[in-house]
Amino acid sequence: MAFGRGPGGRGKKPAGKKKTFFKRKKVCRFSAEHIEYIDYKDVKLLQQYILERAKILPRRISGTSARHQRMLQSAIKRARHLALLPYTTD
Amino acid sequence: MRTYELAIVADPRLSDEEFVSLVDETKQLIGNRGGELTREEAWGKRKLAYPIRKLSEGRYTFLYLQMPAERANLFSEVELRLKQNEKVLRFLTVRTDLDLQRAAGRVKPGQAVKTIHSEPNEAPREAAEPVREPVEEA
Repeated sequence: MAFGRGPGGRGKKPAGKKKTFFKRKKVCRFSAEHIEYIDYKDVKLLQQYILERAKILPRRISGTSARHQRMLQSAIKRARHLALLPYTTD
Repeated sequence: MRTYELAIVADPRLSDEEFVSLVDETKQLIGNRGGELTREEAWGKRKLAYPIRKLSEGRYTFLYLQMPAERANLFSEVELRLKQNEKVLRFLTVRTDLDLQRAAGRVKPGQAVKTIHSEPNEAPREAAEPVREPVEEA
């Protein structure tokens, strides 16, 4: 072995206990509700998808589908331009 | 026919008459270029998410309009006028026909296109509008 670390290497933990993560399957809310258009005027909705510092919530966290994340992204950016949402908080 | 949404954020210091004439002017500009207003939505004064020109409030209006495709290039003239107008803090034009068409294509025939912009969300806003105005005067 290249790393002279004894058998097993990385994946195996010494105690032999397997670490198990319970990942709850994230579901895209927009896909679930069959939403086909996200309106930039819907401030209440968009606010749920920005973080405290007004950043857009990444889809790895929200589970939003790629298509809906794109819609969400442009809606948030439009809302920011009109000062319906902040670009940043300080 | 193309459909557009034109959002205007106007200076909150305008009087009601000034504001109405500003909106009317814009409508006329659109009308003169073959556009047709289908719906209008006024949100009244609303706090801005960040100050624009040191103002913390803006007056929001949304115009929904239709324009024949061959005349849509005239829209830039309307935008130019808004840009030059100091009473306008911000404006945004969004072409909606393609998005809505695409959305309609994905929906099973006979079903309405669902936007999350649901009625319960919108109703209180419009109801709140007349209430908001008197507060401004006080």
